[in-house]
Amino acid sequence: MDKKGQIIKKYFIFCISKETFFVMTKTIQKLFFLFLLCTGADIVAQPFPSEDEKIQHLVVFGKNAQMSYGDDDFVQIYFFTVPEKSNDPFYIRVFDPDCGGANDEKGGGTPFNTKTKFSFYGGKGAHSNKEAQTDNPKGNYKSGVFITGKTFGEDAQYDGQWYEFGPFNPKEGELQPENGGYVFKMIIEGLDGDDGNLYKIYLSSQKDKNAKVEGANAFCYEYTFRLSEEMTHVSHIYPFITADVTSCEVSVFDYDNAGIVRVVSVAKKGDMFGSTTEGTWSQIKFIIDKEELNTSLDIQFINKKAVKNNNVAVTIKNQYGKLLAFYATPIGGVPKYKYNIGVKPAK
Amino acid sequence: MRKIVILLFLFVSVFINAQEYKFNIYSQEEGLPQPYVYDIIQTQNGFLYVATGDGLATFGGHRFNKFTKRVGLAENFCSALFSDSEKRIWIGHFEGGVTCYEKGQFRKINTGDIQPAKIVALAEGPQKTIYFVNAAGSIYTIKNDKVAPFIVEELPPVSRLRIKDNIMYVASQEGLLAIDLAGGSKSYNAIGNTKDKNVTCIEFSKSGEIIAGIDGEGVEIIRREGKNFSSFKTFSSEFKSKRLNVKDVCFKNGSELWVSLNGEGLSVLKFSNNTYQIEKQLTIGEKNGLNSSFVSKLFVDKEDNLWIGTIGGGLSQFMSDRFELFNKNNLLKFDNIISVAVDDSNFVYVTNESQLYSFNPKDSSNVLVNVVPSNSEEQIKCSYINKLNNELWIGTTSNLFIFDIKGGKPKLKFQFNEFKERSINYITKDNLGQTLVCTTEGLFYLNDKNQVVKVFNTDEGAPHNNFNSVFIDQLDKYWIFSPQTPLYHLYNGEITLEKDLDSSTSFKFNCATIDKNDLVWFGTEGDGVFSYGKKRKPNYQRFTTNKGLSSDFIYGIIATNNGDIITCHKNGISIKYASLKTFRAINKNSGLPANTINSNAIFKDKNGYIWLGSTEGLIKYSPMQDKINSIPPTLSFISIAINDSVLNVSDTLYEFPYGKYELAMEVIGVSLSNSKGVEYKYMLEGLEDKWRTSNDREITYPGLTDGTYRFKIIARNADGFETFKELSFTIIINQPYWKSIWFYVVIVSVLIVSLVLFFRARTRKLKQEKIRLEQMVTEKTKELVVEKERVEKANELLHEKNRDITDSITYAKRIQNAVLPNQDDVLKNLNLFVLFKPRDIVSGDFYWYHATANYLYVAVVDCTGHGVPGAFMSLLGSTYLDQVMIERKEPAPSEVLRELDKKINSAFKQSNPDQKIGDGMDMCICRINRDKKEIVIASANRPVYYVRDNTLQETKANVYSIGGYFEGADKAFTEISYEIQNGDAFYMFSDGYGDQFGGEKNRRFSTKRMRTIFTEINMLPVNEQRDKLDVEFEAWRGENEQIDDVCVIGIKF
Repeated sequence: MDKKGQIIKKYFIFCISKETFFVMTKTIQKLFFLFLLCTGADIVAQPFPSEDEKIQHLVVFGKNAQMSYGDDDFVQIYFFTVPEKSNDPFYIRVFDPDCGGANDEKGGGTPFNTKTKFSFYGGKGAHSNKEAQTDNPKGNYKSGVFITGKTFGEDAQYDGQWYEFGPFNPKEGELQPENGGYVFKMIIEGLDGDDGNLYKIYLSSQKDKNAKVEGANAFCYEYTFRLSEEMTHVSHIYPFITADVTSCEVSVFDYDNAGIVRVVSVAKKGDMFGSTTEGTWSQIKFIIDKEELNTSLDIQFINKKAVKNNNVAVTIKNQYGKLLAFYATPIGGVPKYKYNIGVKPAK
Repeated sequence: MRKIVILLFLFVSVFINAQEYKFNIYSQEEGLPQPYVYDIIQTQNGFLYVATGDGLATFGGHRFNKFTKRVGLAENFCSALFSDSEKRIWIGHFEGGVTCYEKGQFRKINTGDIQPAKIVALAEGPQKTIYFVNAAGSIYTIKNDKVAPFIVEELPPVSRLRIKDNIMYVASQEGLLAIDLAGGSKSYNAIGNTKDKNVTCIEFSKSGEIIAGIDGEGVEIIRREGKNFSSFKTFSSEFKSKRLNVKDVCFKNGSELWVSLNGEGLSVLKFSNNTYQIEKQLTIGEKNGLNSSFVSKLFVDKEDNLWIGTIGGGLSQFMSDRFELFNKNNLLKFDNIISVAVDDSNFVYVTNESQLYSFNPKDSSNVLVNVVPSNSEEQIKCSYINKLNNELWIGTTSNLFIFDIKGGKPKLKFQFNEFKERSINYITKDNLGQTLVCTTEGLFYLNDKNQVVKVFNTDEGAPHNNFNSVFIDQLDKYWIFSPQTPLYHLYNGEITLEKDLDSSTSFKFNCATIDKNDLVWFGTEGDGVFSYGKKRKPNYQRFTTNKGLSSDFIYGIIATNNGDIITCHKNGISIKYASLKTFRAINKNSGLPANTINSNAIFKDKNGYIWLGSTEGLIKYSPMQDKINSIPPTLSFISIAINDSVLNVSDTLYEFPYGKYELAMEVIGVSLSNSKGVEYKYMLEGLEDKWRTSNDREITYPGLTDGTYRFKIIARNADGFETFKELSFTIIINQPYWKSIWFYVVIVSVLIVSLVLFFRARTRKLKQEKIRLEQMVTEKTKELVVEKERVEKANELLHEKNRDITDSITYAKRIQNAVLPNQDDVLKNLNLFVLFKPRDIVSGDFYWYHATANYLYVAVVDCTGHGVPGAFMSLLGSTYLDQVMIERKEPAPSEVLRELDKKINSAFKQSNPDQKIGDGMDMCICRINRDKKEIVIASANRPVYYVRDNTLQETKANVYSIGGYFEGADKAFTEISYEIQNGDAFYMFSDGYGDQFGGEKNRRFSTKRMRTIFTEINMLPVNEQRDKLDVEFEAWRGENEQIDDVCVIGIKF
């Protein structure tokens, strides 16, 4: 989207007051969400983690690792959406898929002993299956059609390099127009071993470099990543607040009291929450204002001290315990607190 | 002296851009459902089946047909294909569904609750069991459409599965797994050195080796000996790939290993025959013609065409790499190649109009030399390589140069002074080591010291001074080609016009070559090609466009080591393969990189490659890569329709009721090498007795009526190879019922029965009628008998009455005869005759005679009426005449008439106007005085003729009749007197003779004829005259009734 388009979009969002929004029917709300999804996706590419998030790496540990390392289940699930009209092949590029070398976190054993399995799914049920939308990967979370996969151990040729899966046919995904088109799923499993595999994923239109797929996006329901070691570093994640949310519970695993969590939205100037403990889940609850519906939150992890190898897992649920999705590209853009919401009538 | 020759040596090393390859690309625009191709197979009818992400496509060389869920596929997304021994097509789908295509129908296979995963391969094992595997590593079997797991545990992710000799080979991420199906064991082991390697594809060589494509490592050749597998060879760095992401692998031509490298296109290893010694390696990617570098599937069809399925780039057909093009886009510095030569070190020397460029395709070295200034009018025309001396001779429009080409680096070595301002057309060497230089001013012989030793020109007996080129055959004959000159050769210094060829023809010969069978082939300008064999009869065979030449204008000709003949044209080249009888035209459409080949810019190097200089670059032709397609097309019917009603093409007999039909069909002879070149020969027996030939696949026969027809067709591919067996079907259009025998039988039977019934009815009716008539006849007969009796009685009465009347009249006749004069008395006094023929018994005419002392009176009287009334009048008239003669003494004839008139009037009271009785009489009377020889004639309304000297004259009669009512003055009867001369004849007569009808036209006899006859008979004796008149009268009357009484008197003196 060009600059002019972004201005129009922001103005459009601004003009919708909370009163106006609540009189929308659910169908209109969905359409509105879809509009935001489609327009918002154009402004950035589809890396996981994204540039806006200020997160260096995702992380998964071998299943023999201690949970205090920061991975609660040794399985990460990421979803990718490709526009329905897209007809060009795309690739899933994984940075440093092997477990070994400078980027990865060695566990107790010597040398690296962890294998990481990347499995790519599409087809019916890849996302629509409820067991796939989970923070507790048990049951049929590997739903959908297995397309391809690869298991990496310690392999220097992939160390610090990008590995490409694909090319893929967009039609191999599960068609979910309400989620932006064809949805694919990447499951990353830490197999034998206790090391932490730090990696990044990029949905790319080209094999040998990261090039955005127009209109595509990426999201997940549990975000497991490595926090920066820098003091005062702020990491961001962007859950989308759907129209049926009245309150939220953000769960953070193994924050190690490294800092504070701050929530920014169109209605929250920056609510601060206390830090969480090592190897356990900590919850943060807050009320969702009406004006925050169908917008993204900006959950910030603000380092207050330098903690090495601090990995966290984060989920966010609504008042019913239903998981909300984190989008690599925040829907509707990065939220900004608005001091005055609404438009004054002309005199 | 030439001002300057600038030699600029540029020795540079550049990256060799790969040569351009030609592909036929098929995407959605050509009908492919989607540009994502996952699998390709070829069925027994020759069609390609292509699995795409949006349906199954079939292709016979012309258009794609798409099949989706609408026609019965389990899913639209097709990911794997297999054609089994039962001619069934198995289709694996993306979400785990399986479809079977059999006998024209798709059917879904119930896969039950198996975990959905992309099916990546299907295969057929023992007992015709179908196996399929999905990407997740689950293998299933299909037997009688029942799906069952083959191995319960999940294998590592799988890319392919093949079965050969009862061994199942599974390409998995943990190696190439082999499972012995014959042994019944389901255990598997990674074979060769593939353990823990990501094997992505499997291929089998002709000699049975297993080729495993390994992601990241290359290709491993595995040999099998019984149940043991051993790694034989591994190719890795040979592919010149960074990542070696091997996606698929296949063998082409039996000795070319084609490998798909994901994202890097194709790498080809060409092996020496039956070995794995690499002869050549090619890399083919998007930079040199490949549509997409992501090749998902490689497939070689039965014609050895390579098909390339890509992810997102559609389907491509690799066109033969028999041609390579070098141009500015890769190795050359210019495109217009005027001349070409190649040394034994594989350095190639090409020139344009002003520059010489040498390059080595293998080691990237190249040198560019300016031979003539680019702004001068001088142009390079030809080159010749002298391999013995490492020299390249270059002839221009005004100079001849020799370059030293040692090491592929041309340096000017010598410039001839003898050839300044002479245009050099061609340079060659004879068998004595002399260099022959063809110029516009003669043929120059140079010795090994480059000295001109001889010049052959018109002074020496040459027909022309302009020598275009010269060709020296195996017998040391110098065949010389000059403009507008007959073909001749020099041998031992003698010029000989070629007599074996008709010297009267004006063929313009340009060039020649000799093949491995010692046939000399001549190229002409506009007259095609002649092949010449001294011992062959006829010596010359001619080839023109009718025999496949691309053009009859030949600008260069050369024979390959195979014995093929190549000719160059402005519109491509033509090749006559040694095994074929005609040429094949080849141009851009059929794979030639450029169409316009420059004159004599053709060269064969030591390896047998042919180099062609074109306006678009240098073409390298590899005869070894060029194969004739000897596989005939696979012929089948696409559709057969009769009156737009589609028939089942698998049937061979169709029968229809009587009617008028249009038979329309679409056929296809699948020859994927050149689908447009397929020709069809067909005939509809029963309608025609000669084969038709056409390239049209749609055939129509309109207006078929009753009869038995057999349609048969054969197809021949572009190289002329025909299908072994004709394809045919029979169509029967029944006769109409009215043409059938039973109908004839029925009709005849009905007719017979109808006739019988009709006649029976008729007979019955006739009988009834007869009976009725008989009854009527009986009744009528009775009536008739009664009537007859009555009529007979009446007849008798009538007869009696008639007889009485007749008797009365007969008696009256006696009375009348008694009154008439006695002819004998008359004849005593006069020589006359009387022809008296009453119409009835009694007559109304009478003749009268009276003699006095001095006179004889004769009269003929015609009373009104005839029969009895006439008789009465005649009696009255006769009586009154006698009375007048008594009362008057010798009265004049007119007086007789007058007195008679009075008496008649008196008798009939005709003076009383109230009575108005018209009865009277016409008469003529003469009085003859024999002594005085006088005759006086008076007549009342009757003429009298007299003939004298055979001349008839008429005495006009008075217009009055005797008696009758007459108003007006008194009747003044006149008389005429004649002096009688001997021989005179007088004729008096009533009107009965002249009024008689008869003759041929039933006309009156007429007075005209009477005058004629009187003239004719007047000299005869009177009796003969009477007989003559009588005979004439009767003859005239013939069968007609006499209409009036006749009385003629002739008097002859």
